[in-house]
Amino acid sequence: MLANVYAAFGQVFDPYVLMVILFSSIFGLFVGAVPGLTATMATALLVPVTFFMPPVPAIACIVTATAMAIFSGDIPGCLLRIPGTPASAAYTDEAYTMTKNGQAEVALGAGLVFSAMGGLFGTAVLVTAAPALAEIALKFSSFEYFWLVLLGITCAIFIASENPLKGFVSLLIGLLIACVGVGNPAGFPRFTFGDANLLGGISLVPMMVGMFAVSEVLRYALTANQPMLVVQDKIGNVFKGMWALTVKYPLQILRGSVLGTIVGALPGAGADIAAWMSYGMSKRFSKEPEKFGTGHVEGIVESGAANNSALAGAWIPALVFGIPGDSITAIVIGVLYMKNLNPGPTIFINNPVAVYSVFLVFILANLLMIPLGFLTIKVAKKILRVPRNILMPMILLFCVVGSYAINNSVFDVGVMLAFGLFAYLMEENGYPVAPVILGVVLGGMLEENFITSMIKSDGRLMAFFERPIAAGLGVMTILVWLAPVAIRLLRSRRSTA
Amino acid sequence: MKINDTISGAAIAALGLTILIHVQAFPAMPGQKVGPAMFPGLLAVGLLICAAGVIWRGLKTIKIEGWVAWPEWIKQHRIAAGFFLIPVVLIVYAAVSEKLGFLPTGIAFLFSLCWVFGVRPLMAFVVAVAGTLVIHTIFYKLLKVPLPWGILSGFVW
Repeated sequence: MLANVYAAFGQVFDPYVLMVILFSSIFGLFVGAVPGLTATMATALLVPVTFFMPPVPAIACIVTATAMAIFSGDIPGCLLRIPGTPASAAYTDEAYTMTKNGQAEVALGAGLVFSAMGGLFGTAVLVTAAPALAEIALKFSSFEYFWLVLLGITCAIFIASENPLKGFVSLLIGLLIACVGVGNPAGFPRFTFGDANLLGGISLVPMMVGMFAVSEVLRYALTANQPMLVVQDKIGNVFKGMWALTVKYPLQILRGSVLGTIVGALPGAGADIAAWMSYGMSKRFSKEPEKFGTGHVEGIVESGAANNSALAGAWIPALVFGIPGDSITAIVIGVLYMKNLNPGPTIFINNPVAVYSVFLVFILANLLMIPLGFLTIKVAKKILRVPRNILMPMILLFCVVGSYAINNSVFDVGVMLAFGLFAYLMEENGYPVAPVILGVVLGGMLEENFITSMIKSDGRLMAFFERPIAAGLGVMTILVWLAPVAIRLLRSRRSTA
Repeated sequence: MKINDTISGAAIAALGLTILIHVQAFPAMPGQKVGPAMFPGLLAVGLLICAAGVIWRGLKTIKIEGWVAWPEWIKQHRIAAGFFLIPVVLIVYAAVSEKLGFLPTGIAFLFSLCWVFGVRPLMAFVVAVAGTLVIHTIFYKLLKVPLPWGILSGFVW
């Protein structure tokens, strides 16, 4: 193991990789700080670039950029009352109120310092839990994997969507998109309509760029020309008083980090939901809940830690089972496959150096966040003034070239446009987009394990419950499915009684 | 554009039904009870069940929401133009970039979008030329993506 860790150090502390980390930090900090550009969009934009890199820098690039973006999303929230990324939305009002009260330094400082702490906590859990889980996962057969994937996507629907019914529609559409092409157990070309471009399935990169970047540009087009007003001109020392806050709120930091890591690890729910839940929890357990909403830093401390720890938490199921914890890791899993680093318990045996490199990059990114984040806060006013009517067309052209670059074909530009419009229409009508990506990424795995299990058991459905872990996972999945029905029954009985 | 759930539900049901009929033609795996039709078939059944729920909910709200609600921005020509120009430039790019080459297409692409988003024409032109060159350098020079030269084939650098 030590030899692997040593090798990982060699890989990460290579000048080329360090340069990639530095550039992606700056990119992430910038994307996070510009309202309307999200961490998921940052990932989608980076994928075409990482396509041309060796595995370790490719992953380092995404890990660093997302960690930075989640922090810097706090900056416009604090100064403009517009969250830079959805993960900052939970405490934007609080932070903005603090700024109006002349406490911008404290709000930004808390965002920065406790983001880094939460990120490091999540990383520590990832480093210890992932290999241990992988040991167990090695014993899994197709039955366990089938249930695990099904449980994962089920949780994603029930936790992450306001409207589970529409969430299911999104998921099913994603799973059906995964069916396109010859990549199925029978090797039969499905839904290709005789088009050779579709034989290999719909390319993941143009699809993701369309759904997460083009749809944002479309939304921007409708909100253009809104003036932005920065409240506070000068920002002083953001580190002042942070130690006092750490001493005052140790429990809150720990609670936020733990909750964030768990929510991150649950499939489908990522940093934004972690921040909302954690802010709510902070208010409920606070000794002074009446101060929440009046410019009180406690909730920012807790949920700021939560959204960054969720990022690392999301990597646990992604690395161990190949099941994404959020939409960012859904994209990452696609990248891992492209780099021949197939996620799953065997990655810890076949590619330990790559895994340790991921861990190292996480630690490095969260440490780098403090000085680089400090500099970003210093130049924040300039970033917020970057004209978005110039930025958005550039992003769109970047999307076009990025999608084209994967197969050097304009067919993929069409795929990108189609999915961009589709995602825009879906969101307008309350169909969540994240389950589609989850379905596309997990579709192949779900079908393969299902068909393999059916063949092994000769079509007997009871075989899915005959191994102990499979039975446990199966029962859990069915319980989650039945829970909403049971709750509704209970409610109606109570209201009639 | 807000479409009532009845319509989107009907579209989902139509999709499910089409798939269900389409997969019947898939061949079986020799000697197995399961074949390539099974998984998409199950998903299609799932879509049909969800569609029923979505339509049911849509019918309850149809009186308040109407069938299709057009958004406010559709009346503001500048904003609507910006929105619809995005798919147009993408389609044009896909259609002509191979023949015309990346540089001219990219410049026209950026100029038209910047202009419609309210950047002054001269500035929009400068941004378009500079932006296209930067993206060209990143992808063509650094990442070795063979972006087409088109009409500029004689001036490759």
